[in-house]
Amino acid sequence: MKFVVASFRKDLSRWWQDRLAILLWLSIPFLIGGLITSMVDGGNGAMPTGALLIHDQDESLLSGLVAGAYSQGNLGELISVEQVSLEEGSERIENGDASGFLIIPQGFMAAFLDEEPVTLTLKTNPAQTILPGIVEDVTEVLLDLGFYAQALFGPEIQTIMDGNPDGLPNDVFAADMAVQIQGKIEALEPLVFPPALDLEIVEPPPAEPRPDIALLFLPGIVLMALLFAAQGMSADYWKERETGTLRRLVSTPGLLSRFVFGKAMAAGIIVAIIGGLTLGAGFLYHGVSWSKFVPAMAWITLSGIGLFAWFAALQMLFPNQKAASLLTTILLFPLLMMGGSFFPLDVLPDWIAAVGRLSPNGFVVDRLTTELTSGSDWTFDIQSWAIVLAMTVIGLAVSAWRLQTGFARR
Amino acid sequence: MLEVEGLVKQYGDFMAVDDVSFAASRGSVFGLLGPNGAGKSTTINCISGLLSPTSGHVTVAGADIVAEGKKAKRSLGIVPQELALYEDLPAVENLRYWGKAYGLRGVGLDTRLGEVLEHIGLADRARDLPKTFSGGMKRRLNFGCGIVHKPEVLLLDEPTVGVDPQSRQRLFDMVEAERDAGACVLYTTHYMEEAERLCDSLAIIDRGKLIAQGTVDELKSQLGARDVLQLSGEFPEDSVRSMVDELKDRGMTDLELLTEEHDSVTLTLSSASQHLPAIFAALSAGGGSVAETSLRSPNLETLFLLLTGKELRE
Amino acid sequence: MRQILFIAWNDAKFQLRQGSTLLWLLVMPPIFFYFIGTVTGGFSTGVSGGQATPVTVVAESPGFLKEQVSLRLADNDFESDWVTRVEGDVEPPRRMLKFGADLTKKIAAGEPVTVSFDTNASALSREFEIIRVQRSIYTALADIVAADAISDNVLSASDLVALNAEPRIWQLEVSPAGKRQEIPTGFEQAIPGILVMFTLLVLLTSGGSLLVTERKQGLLRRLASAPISRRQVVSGKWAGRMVLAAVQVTVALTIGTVLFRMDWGPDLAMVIVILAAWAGFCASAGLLVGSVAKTEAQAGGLGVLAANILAALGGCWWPIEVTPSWMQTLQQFMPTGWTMDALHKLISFQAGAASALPQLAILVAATVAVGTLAVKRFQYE
Repeated sequence: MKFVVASFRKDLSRWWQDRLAILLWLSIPFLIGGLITSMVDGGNGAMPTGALLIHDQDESLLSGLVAGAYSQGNLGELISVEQVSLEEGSERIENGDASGFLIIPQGFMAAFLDEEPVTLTLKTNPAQTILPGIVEDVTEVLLDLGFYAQALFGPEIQTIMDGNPDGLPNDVFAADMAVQIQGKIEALEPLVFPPALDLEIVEPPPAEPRPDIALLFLPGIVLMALLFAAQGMSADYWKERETGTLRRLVSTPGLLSRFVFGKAMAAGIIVAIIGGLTLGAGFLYHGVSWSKFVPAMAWITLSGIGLFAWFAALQMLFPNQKAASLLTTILLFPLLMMGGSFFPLDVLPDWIAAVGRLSPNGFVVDRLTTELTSGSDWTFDIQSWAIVLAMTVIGLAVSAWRLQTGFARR
Repeated sequence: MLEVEGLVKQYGDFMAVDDVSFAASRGSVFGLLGPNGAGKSTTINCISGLLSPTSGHVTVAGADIVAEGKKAKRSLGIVPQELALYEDLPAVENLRYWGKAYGLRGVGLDTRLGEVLEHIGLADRARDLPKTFSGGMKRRLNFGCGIVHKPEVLLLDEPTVGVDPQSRQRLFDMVEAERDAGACVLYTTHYMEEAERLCDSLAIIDRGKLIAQGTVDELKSQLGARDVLQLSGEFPEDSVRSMVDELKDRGMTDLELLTEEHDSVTLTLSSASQHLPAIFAALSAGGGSVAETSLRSPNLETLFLLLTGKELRE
Repeated sequence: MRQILFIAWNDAKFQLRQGSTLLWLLVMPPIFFYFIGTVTGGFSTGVSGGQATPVTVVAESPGFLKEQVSLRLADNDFESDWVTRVEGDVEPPRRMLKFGADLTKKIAAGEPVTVSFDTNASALSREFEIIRVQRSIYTALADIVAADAISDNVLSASDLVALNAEPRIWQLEVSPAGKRQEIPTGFEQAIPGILVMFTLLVLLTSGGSLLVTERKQGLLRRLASAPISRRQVVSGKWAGRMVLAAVQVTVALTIGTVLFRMDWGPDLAMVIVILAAWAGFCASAGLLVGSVAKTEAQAGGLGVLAANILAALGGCWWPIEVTPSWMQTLQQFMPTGWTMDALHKLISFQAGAASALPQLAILVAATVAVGTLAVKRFQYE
């Protein structure tokens, strides 16, 4: 046991010397996590916004109402409207400086009143996907309104536009129109007040808040840091081989398995520091219950040791350090992608997510995501812990075996 | 203290070590002298447990290195040819780690660390990192890591390769100090002068086989008092042989031809310097011409040349 | 010139023999293209030109109004799957529109019906789905109101059919700006971004590390004592990295085109010119990293960090619109942002070669500026 401690202290002291590497393993997830969080954070309503350019050739009451519709309610928070000339609008949309450019043609209101065909033109930004779609849909809704208004009040509108065709006194004409319109509205009342179809948008129930999508990225980002650290630290076996200390170790009575275990414990400390800082920042930002912090730390520390053990075992299977580094890098990035470190498992295509959940890091991410996003306390799933513990022990045993059977003797 | 019996290490058809046997006792330095690739390092690696012998036995302080490895290794210290240091760990921590690997603990370990640091002359650099050390200092630290646990048997595999003269002298002093303290030291080298200086007894190894063994004086006596004369020039075929025969007839009875090439000749005889004129005249009469001459007194290098027909350092 | 080419060729040859360089050159691009393209392609599902968004509609005995609601959902790119109930022990659908029972009967009887919509989407996607659902339901309501108003009797299915047959004479003509006819999918957004990022990554890490190794091994010092001027040495080193970058760009272009059928637009020549300018910038940056870093690990670490930061902030990883406005502003100051902007203009907008000239000019200027700094910091030992 004492040699385990000696090995642990030796490696921790050495790795602590290279704080730049630790900083690097920390900085990438902090950077990526920070960017993603600021991007997807919906908690404070910071939605991305787009610009809609409008060239109103009609300059009528109706065209003004259409232009003004985009600034109302929630839409006004997503889209900023600018009135522009034809040339400016065309140039800016061609340059990709707006989400859309709407042209309301001359005669729009007249066409509406006369029930004549009219076409509005909307040019969209092909480098964007959602905001132009929103603009398109809102415009279609406005045109729908026009259709339905015509369908319901067409004759009345026509009569008003014809300007008192029967030659009635103005006050009589106005009253007559008002009665007709009122009569129609009253006929519609049963279907409109209240509306026959009333749409409710379901918000997440307060007892189980819908997880902030930025929080869904957190476990993957933590595991990204651990994977980079595990790969980096596992290369230390090659360094020890190059410096001759492994050969010297073989001629001592100290057991190789204790050496491996000590190194793994040192890796665990580094992993705990990196994971702890990343996790802590995430807990603070997303307001995750601190009662989950300790079990989360235990989970990622054990998992980090397991990842280190397996990377180390893999490193030692190759004939030289270059090949080892190459192959572990080839493995690392698909693991990151499929295991939920680039995008949360929930947004991946089903087959990728299914495979990802079976990967070592994906398994850990999945469990961590479940626990962090649930409203209840951390649940100790014995099976999951047993799997990770078993895989860690096996990884360490393979490392020790590999050292014994030749890696340390070259 | 150290017994090697019928040691064989074979790689396929290649015999790296071929039936090597020797013994070294406490308080002595046993040398293993041979050129590069002779099998010295392989022998040491078998003794230290790094390699498993194909056959044979190695006993360290009474324990078989294969059957009782852990017990044997407790008595063993190694100073490898290649440095084996943690460059990013302070010097004292390097010593501490290896001390703990051999089971030293607590106050005893701390005391020993101070002793070793003094002994290797790095007491004032104890907290510095080896990557800031000169090559000689690293060698000394390498030595210190091998002796921190006061081994009964100390293996040194060509410890002075690439070392400056001052550090080399220091290493010699440390080796002698270990011997004087009662350790059995196995020292491999291809430098004859090191072997002559340090070794109480030694073995000469070439191509995996021991070709001579004994004390330095015993080995030298195999040469007799004969000098080695090396001549470079042009020597027609068979002219040298006939020259040697003629000179022997004239009274140089202990003249011996060691090697003969068209451009070099090696002869051995006693008091060679007195016979140089006669030798040159005989060679000249046979059509040869001498461009360079080298005359060496009897030593281990000339013994190696005598035994193998080649130089110790080729 | 011969000396410069000699140094450049040897540097490029050495780097192209490194397994790690080949890994990032040949193996990683298709993996990243596929993954990022597939996942981000899913984000744009349901938008015009994309696939319909599935939605589960729960309604027991909906009556003839089911067809009208389905019609309006389809108009808004929803693919409706009508069920009578959702079992409690099954995972609920990602999107669910729930009507009360007897939809048609209740409306005909003048009873209002509450419809609830629940979705797993979030942020902008959620807003977009809500708008589309609102439009679907209120259009369906408007259909009911209008059909009822023009019908002489109680509302019937034929009234709705007649209303649907009425021509919609107010049209909206939608077209993408530029000359592109199809909206780019996830791959066509992801491939240029990953290509730009990988070129930077390879040049900063491999290109930077090599210089550090040469310096540590004394090779640069030996070069200093050769009859080759400092200018020639640095130019050669830069050119070697330029060769590496050119290989990276060529390979990624080929993989994107052949494996993923990337449409680079009608100005492929200008796309290549922009990428060549980008390669030049990356070569200068690689030289700078190699001059500044003291160890290979530092060069690698600095390279990875810088490449990730510039890629993230420059719009290589995600579509422009999902970034906050401060990021969109910041992008305009990033070399990666200039390159992505130019590529968007050429590929997405097909706005013509001239449209990318300003970005080309800035890239060339940045290449010279960073290169000059690299030359100043270059040391033989």
